Amino acid sequence: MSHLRNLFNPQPGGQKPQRLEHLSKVVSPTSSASSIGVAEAPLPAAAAVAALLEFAVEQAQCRPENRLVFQADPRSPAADRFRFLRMRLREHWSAGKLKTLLITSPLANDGKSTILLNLATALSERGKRSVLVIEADLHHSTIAADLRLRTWPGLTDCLLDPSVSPLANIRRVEPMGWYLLPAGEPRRNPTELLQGPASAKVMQKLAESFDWVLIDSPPVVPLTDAIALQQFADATLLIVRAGKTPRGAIEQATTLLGPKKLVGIVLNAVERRNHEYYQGRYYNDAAHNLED
Amino acid sequence: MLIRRRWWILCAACGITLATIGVLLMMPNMYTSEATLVVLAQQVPQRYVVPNSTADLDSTLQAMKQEVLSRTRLLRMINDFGLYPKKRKRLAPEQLVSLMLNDIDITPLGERPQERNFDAFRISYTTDNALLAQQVTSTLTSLFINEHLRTQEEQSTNTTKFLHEQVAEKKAKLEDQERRLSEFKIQHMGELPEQEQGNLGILQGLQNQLQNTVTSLDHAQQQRMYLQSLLESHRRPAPAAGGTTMPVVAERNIPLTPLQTAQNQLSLLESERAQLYAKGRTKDHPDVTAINREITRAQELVKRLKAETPLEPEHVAGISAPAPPPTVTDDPAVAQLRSQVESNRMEIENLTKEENRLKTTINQYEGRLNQTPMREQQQAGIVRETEALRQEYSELQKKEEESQLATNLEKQQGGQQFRPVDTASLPLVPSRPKRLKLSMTGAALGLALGIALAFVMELRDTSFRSEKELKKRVTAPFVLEVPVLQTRGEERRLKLRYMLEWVAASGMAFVVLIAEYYVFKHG
Repeated sequence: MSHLRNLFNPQPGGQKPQRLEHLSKVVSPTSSASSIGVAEAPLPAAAAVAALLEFAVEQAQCRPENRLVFQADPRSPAADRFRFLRMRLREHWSAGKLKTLLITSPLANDGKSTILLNLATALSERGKRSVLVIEADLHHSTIAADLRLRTWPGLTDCLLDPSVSPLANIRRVEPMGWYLLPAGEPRRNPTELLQGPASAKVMQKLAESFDWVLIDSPPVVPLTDAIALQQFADATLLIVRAGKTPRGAIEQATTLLGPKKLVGIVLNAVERRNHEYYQGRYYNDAAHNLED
Repeated sequence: MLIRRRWWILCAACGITLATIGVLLMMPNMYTSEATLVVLAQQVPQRYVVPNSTADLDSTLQAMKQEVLSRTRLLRMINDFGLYPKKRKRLAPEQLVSLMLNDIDITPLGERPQERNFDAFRISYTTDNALLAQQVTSTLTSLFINEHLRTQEEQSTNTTKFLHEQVAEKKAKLEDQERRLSEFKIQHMGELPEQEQGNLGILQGLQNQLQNTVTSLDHAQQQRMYLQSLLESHRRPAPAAGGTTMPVVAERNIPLTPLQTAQNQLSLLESERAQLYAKGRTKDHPDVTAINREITRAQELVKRLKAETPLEPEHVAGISAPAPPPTVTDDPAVAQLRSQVESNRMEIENLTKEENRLKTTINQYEGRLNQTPMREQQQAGIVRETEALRQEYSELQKKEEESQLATNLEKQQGGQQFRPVDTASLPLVPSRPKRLKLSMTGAALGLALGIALAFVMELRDTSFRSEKELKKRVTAPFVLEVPVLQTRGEERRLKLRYMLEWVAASGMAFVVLIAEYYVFKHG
C-alpha cells in the first residue's frame, strides 16, 4: 500500500512513476493505431481492435481510499487474492465459456465496486488484455466519481439513442489500463432502460470488442436490475461482505441469481491476522520476479 | 467471538461492578447483636417428678416465638427503643412489625437442628445502630426466659387444677355407684349370692326340722290311734278328728265303710308324704308332686263320700274330737285315757301347725335360692361398674399428686428453663452488607452478563466471517476470501483505536480494582 502514495503523489519535479510512464507509452489521447507499435509486446486481437479504435484516455486520480491494491501494492497478500480470482476466472475464459462477467452483491456497500476495479486491473494484465468496465448501476454510479474522472456520455445515452455507438463513449482509464463505459446522465427510469430492447444490442456489440467485459450492477435483493443484466452476462460473480452481509440476503441473492450462472462468491473484507497472508509474500515476491 | 465482542463484555462487567459497588457504598452498615440461650432440664430427675409439659423443644420454641414476637409486644419495643424512625412516619404498624420480624432471627443450635434435635438457640437482632441492637437483643432474651417460666408454671398449674376437678367428679360418681350397690343389696337381701350358702344351710335345717316334725306327728297320730283304741275298748270309740285324716280302725266284726276306707287311704298318703319331707324331698320333687296329686284325689273322694253318707260321729274322719270330759261315772282309767287323748290331740295340732310353718318357710327359702342366680348376675354388673370407677378414681388421684409435685417444682423454678450462655453482644463490625463479597459477585455477574450479551449479539449476527463458514452454508463453484483493504491512514487509525481501547480498558479495570480495594478496606 505504501507504493500507492508514491504513485499518486509524484515527487515535485520528479519523474512520473514508472508504471504511468510505461502506460503512457502504450496509448495516448491522440495516439493513432500505429502508436500501438510502441508497446513492448504484441497485443492479442481484441486488444488490437481496441487500440485501433483510438479510445480516449482518461487519467484517474487514484487515492488510497479507492483501495486499488492491485495497482498500488501488487505484491501484497490482498493482490494475491485477486490474482487467484483471475486464475479461476481465466479457466473459464480460456475455455470460451466466460467473457462477460456480471459483478453484483446482495446489498449495497458490500464492496462490489472495489472488487470490480481490482479485478479489472488484475484481468487487464498490464495491458495484455482489454477489459471493459460497464458502470451499469444506474441508480448509484460511483466508479467515475471515485476515480475523479470527468463526466462524459455513457450507457444511458447509448440506451436512449440507439444511433449512438457505445464504443464512442468508452474511455481508457489510466494508469490501470482498462476501459470504462460510465453510467452516463442520470435518468428517472434506469430499470426500464436496462430492460429495454437496446440493452441487448449494446451489450452484444461491447462483448465483441473486448477480451473481458465486467458489468457493475446494482445490488440483487433490493432491485431487479441485476437479474435483468444477468441475461447479458456469461456468468455472475457475487460479492458479499464478511461480518456484514446477512445470511438471509446471501441466500436470497443466490436464489434469485440461480445456480447456473453463478461462477463464484467473493467474501470481501475478511479480518484475518496479517501473518496468514504475509506468509505468501515471500513466495509471491519470487513469482513476481519471474513475471517481471 | 470474545475478542470481537470485547466491548460488550468489558462494558457490562465494569458497569455492573461499579454500579454494584456504588450501591453497596451507599447502603448503611447494619449491626447484628446475638445472644445464646441453652435449655436446662428440670433439676429433679424425672423418675421422681414427672413434668407436666412433654412438648419437644422445637414446639416450645415455636410457641415462645408466637408469644414473644406478637404484634403488641413488637410495637411496644419499636416505640420504646425508637426503632425505624424514618419508616415509622410512612409505614403502617403491621408493616413495621413485619420489618422487625425480618430483622429478628431465632436459630436453633445443636448437632442436628434440622431434625428438631437441639438444646440451645440463638437470638439475634439487626439494625443500623450497634448499641440499639444490643439493647433489643437483651430485651428479647429476657422476654424469652420470663415467658417460658410463666408458661411452664401456668401449664402445670392448669394441669393440676384440671386433674383435681376430674378427681372430684370421679369420686362423686364412685360414691353414687357404691350407694346403688348398697341399695341393691338391701333390696334383695336374702337373695344375694353371698347368702346362698346360708340359705342352703337354713333350708337344710328347716327340712330336718320338718322331717322331725313329720315324724313326731306320725308318732302322735299313731299314739292317738292307740289311745283311741284303748278308749274304745272301754267304751264306744270317739269320732275321728278332722283335718288330718286319721285311720279308722274297724271295730271287731264291723266292716269299714267306703268313707272310712277313703279316710284311711288319705291318712296313709299323708303319712307317706311326711316321710318324703323327712327325707329331704322338696315340694317340687316328682315323688312329692305325685303323692300330692293322690292326696288331692283322696281328699275329694272323702268329701264326696261325706256328702253322701250321713254323719256318724264314730265314722267322721278328721281330727279326733276332743274326748268328752270324764263324767263322774267314768272310770279313772278312762279319764286318764281321755286326758292322754286330749294332750295327744293338742300335740298333733301343734305339730301340724309346726309342719305348715316349716313348709311355708321352706318354700320361702327355696324361692330365695331360685332368685339367687339372677341376683348374682345383676350384682356382678353393678360391682363391675363400681370397680372400674374405683380404679379410674385411683389413677386420677395418682396423676393429681404427680401433677401437684410438678407444679410445686415449677413454682420453685426447678423445672425446665432457658438460661443465657452468651448475653447480648455489642457488635463492633457490621454484619451486612458484605460489600466485598457482593461486589465480587457483582463483578462476576457483570462478566457473565457481558458474555451472555456477546453470545446474543453473536447469535443475532448471521453474517459470515470466513470462507469456511460460507462454504458450509452456500453452494457455489468457488468461494474466495479477500482481506480488508486498508489505507495507511486507516491502519494508523486502527492502531490508534486499538491503543485507545487498551487504555480505556485498562482504565476501566483500574477503576474497578480501586473500587474493589476501597470496598475491601472500608466495606
